[in-house]
Amino acid sequence: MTGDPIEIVNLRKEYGKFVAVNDLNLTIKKNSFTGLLGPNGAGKSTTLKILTHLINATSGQAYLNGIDVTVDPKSALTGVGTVIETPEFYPYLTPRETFRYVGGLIGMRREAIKSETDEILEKVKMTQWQDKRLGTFSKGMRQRIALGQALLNDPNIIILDEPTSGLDPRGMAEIREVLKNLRNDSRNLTIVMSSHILPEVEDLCDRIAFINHGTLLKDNEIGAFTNVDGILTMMIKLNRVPTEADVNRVSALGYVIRAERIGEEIAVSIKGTDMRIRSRLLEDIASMRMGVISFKEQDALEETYLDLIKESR
Amino acid sequence: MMVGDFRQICTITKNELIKSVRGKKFLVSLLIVLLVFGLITLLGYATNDWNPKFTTANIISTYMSYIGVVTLLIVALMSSVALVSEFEERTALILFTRPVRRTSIFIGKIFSCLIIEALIILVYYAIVTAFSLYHVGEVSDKMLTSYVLCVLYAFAASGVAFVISAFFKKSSVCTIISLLVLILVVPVITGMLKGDTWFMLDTAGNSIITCVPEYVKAYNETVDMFTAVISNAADVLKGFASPEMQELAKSLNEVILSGGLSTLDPNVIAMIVTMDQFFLSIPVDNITDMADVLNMMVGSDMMKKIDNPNVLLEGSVLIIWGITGYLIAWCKFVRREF
Repeated sequence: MTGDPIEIVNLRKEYGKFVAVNDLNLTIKKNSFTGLLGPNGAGKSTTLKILTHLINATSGQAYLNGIDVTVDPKSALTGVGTVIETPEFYPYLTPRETFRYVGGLIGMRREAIKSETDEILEKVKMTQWQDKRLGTFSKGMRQRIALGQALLNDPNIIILDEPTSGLDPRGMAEIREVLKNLRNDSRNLTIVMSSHILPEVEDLCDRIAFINHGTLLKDNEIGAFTNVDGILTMMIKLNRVPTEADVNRVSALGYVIRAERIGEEIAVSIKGTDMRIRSRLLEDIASMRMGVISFKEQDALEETYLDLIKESR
Repeated sequence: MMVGDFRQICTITKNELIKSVRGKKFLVSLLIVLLVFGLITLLGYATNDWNPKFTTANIISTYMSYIGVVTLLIVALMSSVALVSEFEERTALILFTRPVRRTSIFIGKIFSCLIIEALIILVYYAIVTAFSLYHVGEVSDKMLTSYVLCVLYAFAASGVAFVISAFFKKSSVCTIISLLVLILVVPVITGMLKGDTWFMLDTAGNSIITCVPEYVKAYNETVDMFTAVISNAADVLKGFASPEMQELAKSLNEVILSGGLSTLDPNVIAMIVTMDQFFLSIPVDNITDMADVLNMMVGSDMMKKIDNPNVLLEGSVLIIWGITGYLIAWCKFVRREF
């Protein structure tokens, strides 16, 4: 036991012959916002569902605050807030009644529920809807309420399984904003979130754990994935298909490590992430008058993600 | 179970009650109760079946005969969806991820279903009681026993509905299967069993009405009346087909053919000839069979008199049915994965 809030030890889940989680070992650091990344069927959701006692593990342990959820789920889930996928609520209840119900379930006092409800509804921007029945809410609104109920009783762990899945762009942005505020405002809070959306993970998380075939591929701080070896790759698009001569001209720039044609773009690798080098590259390329129509940073996380998934096949 | 668990059970029960009362199923169940009462009353008035000299037995046999089916309908509507709805409507994602034992959730759901079902059944009993007081001026003193047995019947049927709810994935399927099992399958099995079926759900459920002595008395009087009518009819038929009667008809026919009746009035002759032809044309074998069938009817279960049931035994049977159902459902529910 490491003393970290979430510790998964040799966790295994089998569905007949199919192994969804394959002796997974993973530790989620205290006060981190960890993104769980992996393709469909990688075992992310299964792992989180075992952690939240929605499914039973075949073998192994999953500790929440030092208590094995596979042995004593009631004690393990105390102090844990969860939003698994897009949960539904009882349509006949209002947000306030829902919070009263969930608060009552987790043993909160009536006054505490009331004061926390006001505060949380404000946080998830649902105050004006507090007395309307949930049956009339949009998916985005319901998801904000889901997030709100997870915050009741000041949990020290929050588990989120694809919390923006199925939401429209506005709904996604609203949830991300709430999560960002939560990350910035809370001192003693560990969040683990599975997601398919790389920019979302990049935007919210400070650590990433890559999972495929039910095993952990890599687990590190986000910087280790987005800025590999301190090399930055810029993608340049011209108003025509780049020629060999265009690539050679860019390669000739002293600070450029490598330039190559990828599809209809030129990928230019430069050392360091200093903004001044980027602007210098842009100015130099502009002065070459090649007809640049777009200049953007390559998604390093996506590249790492694809590489890792490819390697693990 | 600890104090915390008990508090959680209360919280879940309360929420389930709010959910039920605000939901459509509660209203539909209430409507069924009112509709059944209204239809029986209206049909009674429309067919002029209402005797101004009402008795408690009339009221009981008219209205309480349907309470068993009404109870099963209510149970199929309310209990059959209690467990499955958490999975189908994805509310389990909130409820099951909380520090609450599945057993506490299960018990809370049993309590809420029972309370709601007992309330709806109470509405029916209250209306029948009020009607009885209005028309007869009194009510059977076994009405309360009948109500308690009816609630126990709902408890038992609910156990069966919970089993179905724990195993299936769709609420609508659970409701239909519960209805089929409770209203069709169980009685068919009971019908196929030989001997006393006191241990069967529907037989024990019959005690709701047979525990009322006025009903038993009125029912047995009706059985006596029917038995007497059918027995007499069988005797008459057998008499027609008896060898003596056939012999007599043949002798009479010989007299007619020999002209021995020629001195009589022609109308009298015609009548005697017609009667003689009738007796001679009787299919003796068929008539004997018909008489046997009638005698079999008299001895069948259909014409059996009923006794006041052993309320304690039948109540226990219902409780055992309920507990067995809940135990099976619980075993599945606590292990069921989302």
